[in-house]
This record gives sequence, structure tokens and C-alpha cells, in this order.
Amino acid sequence: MTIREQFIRAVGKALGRSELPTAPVPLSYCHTVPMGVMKDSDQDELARAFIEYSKVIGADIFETARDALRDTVRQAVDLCGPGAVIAANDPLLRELLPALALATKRTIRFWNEGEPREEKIRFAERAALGIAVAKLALAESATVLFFSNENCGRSVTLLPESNVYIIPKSVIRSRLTQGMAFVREYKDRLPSSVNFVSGPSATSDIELVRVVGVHGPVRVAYIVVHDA
Amino acid sequence: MSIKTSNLNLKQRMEKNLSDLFMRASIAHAQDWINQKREDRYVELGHFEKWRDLAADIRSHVLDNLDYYLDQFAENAQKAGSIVHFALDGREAIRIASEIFQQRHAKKAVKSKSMVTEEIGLNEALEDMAVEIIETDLGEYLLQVDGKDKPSHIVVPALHKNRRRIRDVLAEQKGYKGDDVPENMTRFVRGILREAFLSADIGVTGCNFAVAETGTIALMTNEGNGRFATSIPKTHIVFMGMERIVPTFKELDIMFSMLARSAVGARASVYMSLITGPRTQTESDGPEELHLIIIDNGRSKVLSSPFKNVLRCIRCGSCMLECPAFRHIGGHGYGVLYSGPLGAALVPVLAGYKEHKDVTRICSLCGACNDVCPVKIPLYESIMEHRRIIAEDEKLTSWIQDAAYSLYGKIIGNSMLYQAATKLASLANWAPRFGPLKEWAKAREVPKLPGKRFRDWFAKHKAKEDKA
Amino acid sequence: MEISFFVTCIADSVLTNVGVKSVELLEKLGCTVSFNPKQTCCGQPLANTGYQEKAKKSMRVLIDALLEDECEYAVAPSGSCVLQVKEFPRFFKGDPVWEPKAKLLADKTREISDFIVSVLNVTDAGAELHGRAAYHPSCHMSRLLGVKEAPLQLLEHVKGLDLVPFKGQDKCCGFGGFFSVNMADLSGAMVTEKVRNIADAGVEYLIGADGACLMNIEGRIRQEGLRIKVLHIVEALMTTA
Repeated sequence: MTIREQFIRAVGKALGRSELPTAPVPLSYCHTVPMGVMKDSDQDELARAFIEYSKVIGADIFETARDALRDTVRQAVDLCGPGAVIAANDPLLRELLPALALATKRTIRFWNEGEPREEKIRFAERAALGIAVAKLALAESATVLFFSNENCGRSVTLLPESNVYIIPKSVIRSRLTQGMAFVREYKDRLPSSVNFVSGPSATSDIELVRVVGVHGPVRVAYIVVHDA
Repeated sequence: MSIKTSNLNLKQRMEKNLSDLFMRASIAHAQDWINQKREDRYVELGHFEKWRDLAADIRSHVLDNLDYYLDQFAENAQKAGSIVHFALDGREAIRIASEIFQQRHAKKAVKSKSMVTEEIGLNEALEDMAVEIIETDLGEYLLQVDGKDKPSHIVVPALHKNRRRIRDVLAEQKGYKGDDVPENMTRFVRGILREAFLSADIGVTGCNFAVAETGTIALMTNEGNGRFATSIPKTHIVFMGMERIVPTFKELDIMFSMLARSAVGARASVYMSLITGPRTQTESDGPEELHLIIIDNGRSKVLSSPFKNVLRCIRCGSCMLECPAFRHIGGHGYGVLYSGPLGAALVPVLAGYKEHKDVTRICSLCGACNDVCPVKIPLYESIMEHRRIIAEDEKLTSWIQDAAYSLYGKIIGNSMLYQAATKLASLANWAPRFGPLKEWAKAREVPKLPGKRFRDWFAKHKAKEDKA
Repeated sequence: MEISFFVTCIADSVLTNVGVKSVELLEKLGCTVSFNPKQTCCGQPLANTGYQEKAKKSMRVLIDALLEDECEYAVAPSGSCVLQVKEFPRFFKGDPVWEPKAKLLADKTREISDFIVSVLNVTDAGAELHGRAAYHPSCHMSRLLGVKEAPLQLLEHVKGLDLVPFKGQDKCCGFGGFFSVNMADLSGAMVTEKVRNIADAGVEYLIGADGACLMNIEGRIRQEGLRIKVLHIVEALMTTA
């Protein structure tokens, strides 16, 4: 018997079994209350809820339309300190950022560029801001979802002092129930790292005084694009 | 086994912690503040009892099928490229961890808070191996720097420290030159730990939940240190209590929704990270190796006991924040890692009645904990049953106590004796204050016994009525 | 309505006025009250300390004493004692003689304010008591027995009584049976905070429905020399102008 088998047999024994059981009947929920949260909200209402709550969690919030997005991104970037930009390798960002780089005289690098690993991480660590496009967003908690891969490393949404996230209104859902259902659709091909992010890093560990900006980004800006 | 956090006995711990007025004020403030936030979150969410029912069902279902789900989790974690280890106890877990450190030639580790690693004494063991292991949760870091102090609460571990003390410790130990404003001190620690994150060989984390369907580790954090520990170092080691499983992401929604609200009164934590295997070949960050150490350390004993339900615990700490006893003595008063009602319900069966019988005494059986537990653990009933086991099955009470309670039971168990005793009871008004009377009188006046009992009045009353 | 009165050990020997006023109140509301002097104690402090077997003797004595009169209800002026009686069937589970008897008693036993409101359908007991008052909802009675509204409904109808909330109203007063003497310092800290909160509410009366809590709180009030009168709800309900 392998160690794994031994270990699991011991658990089974504690449950009064001598053999590993076949799959149990999956748990069925005694009610559907989680699915009912904000069930009747339309996309505008979800966006509204998202925008309002992002203020509560300390994110800077911008609203814009697709054709004004370039300017809004500029606005958000200008609020951050001077320094380089590390961006997810996303078609939208490929379109918007090069011009912005010129205009703001910032170095912009896309995550899939460069190597080796240590150098890329150092760049992201020194960058003034990281920018990415949300795969999904959750209205209830003003949360955005990122998958990590060769185009957008974990570092992009973690290391820079500031982060800017572009959120197409169409990806906003009600709450984590939909967020987890979305992730589950990828269960057979999950990225190694999936992150739900809700605003800037924070702590209340010293005398319960809330401090925004601990190890993760100190400042987070959300840009909701209404017609995307 | 590092479940014991103090060498003082019960009486000494009570004295010490009751006289720590700062800690008591902090804990009271934390209770009032967080409890209100928690209540607000559940009122706005609605249907709190229904959410609890669901969460309790999910946890019970998993515990009832823990062997199956553990096997499924291990299988899927392995498929995703994780290296899965099983440790029957803390010693075994440390042996496995030590081997990984040696194999990876690791000298420096950054750690994101994990109760189970404290339970097994990981830090001490690694330090014996000349490994530098740095706590990175702000609260845990401050405790580590301050003479390796123990946490006073599982969610807000440094609650008992005031800002002046923190400033002084940072100045002494780390050369901090600023003031005691929390934001400034936090910024300073950010700077120190940044370098640690970037240069550590290994990231160590716990695991809030493990998703069986995909072999995923789910972490709920706020500061970003958990994300750092799982993104930058080349090796990531996860320590996981074996009961921390959910079947699929669908159930993870419920557990995360409850945990954020019950622990800190938030709708979500800042980071909810789902980690499935090490990085892929094409990724530039993330660990090259991901090790999962699944730990029993007494949990199967609890599973086979009448206290199985206590394993539903999701470590939210709301029972501690609701507990009126915890309010006055903090986590340190309990002398064990898991404190408050959770500690009283779990520690005796997890780690032994003989050594831990006293923790069940720190409870007035008010039942407030039962009402807030997000997974409906019968904490009150568990503590009562532990007391019965201690007195009747394990016979760990003193013979004096047994004799006194026997006498008491005999008197109230016999009408004649009881009536005689109560008739004489008013003599106690002149009794010297010793034993229980002395204890009572420490904080209260002793009630004066009237001499005439109710039954004496009733006899007269009935006689009058019968006459009429 | 014939009821068998379960006085409780505290109301029998210490807070005897609670027993007296309970009977007077029940009679005023039209009940015939019988009291079986064979009754002793529900055994809760002993059972809660872990000595459940040792407590069973008194449970049996109580069961027989309260069932003897064969009344429709057994009524007690204490939520915690009634809770204990409700637990009797659990203690005697599997016992062919005592489990059914325990169940019979458990089913017919009620806490007094709950009895008055839910069985007698009375919310106005015709009382009059002028002043500011705070109500302490004892843990066992409110959380575990579930009697929360009845005492408030009764107190709301007391003419002239101004019932006010206070900070930490729901918190345990620190009695907890033998906890009050076995963990006296911690218990003391708890009752000290409770009394501080009551005093800060600027009340003349502290009213409760469980003698154990009242004994505890009153003991602290007296030690602090505060001018707050502690009343059991039956004492308030039997006060007239």
C-alpha cells in the first residue's frame, strides 16, 4: 500500500469503512438562494452596483465609452507615479498602449516580451503600474478576475505599486456564484493561477486601523467601458 | 506538537490576561467593530440561516465522504503537476518539508499565515535547520519580530499589541525611524518584505480550501503576501489540514462567501487565489515545483469521535469574536493555538483530554457562539459533552471536586436531605468566606439568605386558602 | 387552569420573593397553583460541570414531584431551569421507565412569562411601575429556550415603565452555574462589564426572568454601591400603584 492509500484508508476507517467508497451521491443544495442574488438586475444595474462598491473598497473608478477609452486610460495612468508600465499581452492593450507610451514618455512592456524569468519579475517589481483586462467582474464585491498565463503573469496584477484594470461592462456578473461557475467551465484546462481581485491590498492588523496598500498594489483603478 | 502556546497554568493565565487592560480593550473593540460589520454583511446578503444551512450541509457532506474526496483531490492535484505528500502527524509533515528544503537547497522561505503550520511547529523546526522563515502577514510578522510572540486571534493575530509597542519593536529590531502611525509602519514593513519575497527560495502557505474536482488550492488573503509567496519563489509548499476540502468550485462560492463575511465582515477578501499545479512551461512566474502536504495530526481521531462536526470549521474566528469569555482574556488566555469556543470544542479531542481539559472550563455556556458559526457547529453541546467525558469517562477531575459534587448531587437527589439542608442554609449568612463563597465574593456581594424559604410561605398560603 | 409550580432552588431558598410573586401572579391570572414540596433542583449546575450521572438523581426526584399532581402544565420562573427540564429526555435516552416520564414532563413545562403570554394569552398583567428599566435577556432563556418576546410584551404593558436598551444587552452576565465560582475572576470581569453597561444606561431598575442571572448581577450592583433595583419580572408584574 502506498502512503496515500494508507492515509486514506485511515480516514475511511475513522468513518467506519474498510474500503474506499465509490463516488458519493453529489450534494444537492437545499435551496437556491445564492443564485438568486441580483438575479433580475440588467447589465446597467450590475455595472452601477460594481461602480458604487468599488468606491467602498478603495479603488479609483472611471467610466468611459470604447472610443474614449484611450483618453481614460491616459487619465488613470497619469494619476500614478512616474515609471514603467507592465501590461498584459492583450489585443486591446496592444492597440491602446504604444501611443500612450509615446505620449507619456513611459517605457511600456508587455508580459510576453523579454526574458529570463528573474528579469521580467524585476521589471514588473520596479514598474510604476501594471495594466490588464478583466476576464470577468463581480458586481456585489467589485471584484475582477484574471487568469495567469504566458500573456499575463501573476506579477502584472501583483508587483507594481499601482494597477489599472479595464472592465468591459459585458463581463460584469452578479456575484461570486457566477464567478465560480465561470471558473468551473475551465475545469479541464485550468490555468495554474486564477485570481479574483477586489481593489487594492489592505490590512487592519495594527489596532484594527485599516491601511490600504500592504504587499500588493497600493492603488487600483478600475475603468468600466460601457459599450464593450 | 505546538498546540500549547503557554507554559502558565489556567489560574496564572487568567491572572495575566485579565490584568492586560490594553489587550482587553483591543479585543472588546475588535469584537464590537467586526461583529457589527459581520451582522451588516449578513443582513444585506439576506437569508443568513439558509446560507448557514448550505454551508453546514457542504461541510458535513465532505466530512462524511472525506476518504473519497481526499483521494479525488490527490489524484487531480497530481494530474495538474503538484507533488502530493501525506503526513499522519506533525513530525511527518516536518520531515517531508525538511526534505523539500534540502532538495531545493533552500535557505530562505516566506510564509503566508497558516494555522496548521503553527500547530505542527514548522517555524521552530526549520530554524533548527538554519533556514530563515519569515512570516509575511503583517500581524504575524510583527509577532515574529517581537520575540516570536503568539497570536491572540486566528484572523487578527496582533490584536493585543498597541502601536507604540510595534513602533518600538520595529525600531529596535529593524532600524525603523518613523512614527507609530499604522500606515507608516505598514509601508516600512512592505519595503522589508518586498526584498524577502523577491529573494526567497520557497513560499509556504496554508490552504483555506482544496477543490477535489480539479486539485486546486484556494487561498483567501488581503495583503498580497499570499500571492507573493505563491508567485515569485521557485518552490511553493502548501500545508493543508486534511479536512479542508470542497467537492467543486460551486461549493467554494458558498464557503468563500461565508468566510469573508464571518471572519472580517467583508463581502470578499482582496485576493481569492485558485492555484492548480505549478506554472506551465510557457509561464514566466509562478513556482516550478508545487508541493502539497496533507496533514492528519489527530483529525481522523476527531472524525471517528462524536465531535466530527467540529471539523466543519472554516477558521473564520467569529465564535471567538462573539464569545464573552474570549472578550476578557483573548486568545492567550486559553493557552492553546485554537482558542475561544473552537478551542474548547476541538482541542481536547484533537490533542488529548489529559493535557487540555482546562480549556473546557473557559466557557459560561451562553450559546452565543452557536448562533454565529457559519457552518453550524454545535459548539455549546460539544463543550458540554467534553466536560462530561472529563468528569465521568476520563475521570480527570480532582477527588476533592468529585467528592464535593457527589455530596451536592446526593443532597439535591433526596427530598428529605434537601429540605433539611435548605432549612439550615441561612446559617451560611454567617459562614466564613472560604471555598466557593470566597470565590463568588471576589467580584460580588454574597446574597443574604432570607431564612424563610418559599416552601414555608407556600405551606402557610395553602393553609389559608384551604380554610377560605 | 391547574398548574404545578416548579419553584427552582434559587427561588426556594435565596430569592424567595420570586417564588411568592410567581404564585400570586398565576393565581391572579386565574390559575390554581399546586406545589409539591418533594421537588428539589433540576441538576443543571451539576450536569453543566460534567457530572451528568450525579445529577440524574435530582432529575428523577423533580420529574416525579412535578408529575405527581397530574396538572396540565408545570411552570417555573426561570428560563435556564426550564431548559434543563426540556433536556431531561436526552439525559434519560434509552431508559424505558424514565425517558417517557422525562418526555411527559418536558412537554408540559413552561417558563412563566412564556406561559402567561402563550398559554394564558395575557400580555397586560395590570401592573404599574414608574421608572426607567433595563431588561437582561438571560442566555439560556433567550438563545437556547427561545423565549425572547414574551417578557418584553409583558413589560411593555407595565404602566409607567420606560424600558430602554443598553450596550451589550445580549451578552452573558457571567453566571454560568459553577463557572461563577470555578472561574470567578473571569466571571467577575464579565459581570463587571454588564453592570457598567447597565449603569451607563441610567436606569432605576434591572429586570430579568432568571434568578441565577439576577443574583449575579445584583451581587455586583451591590458591591459597586449602585442605586439600581434588581427585579425578577414577576416582581415587576405584581407591582401596582
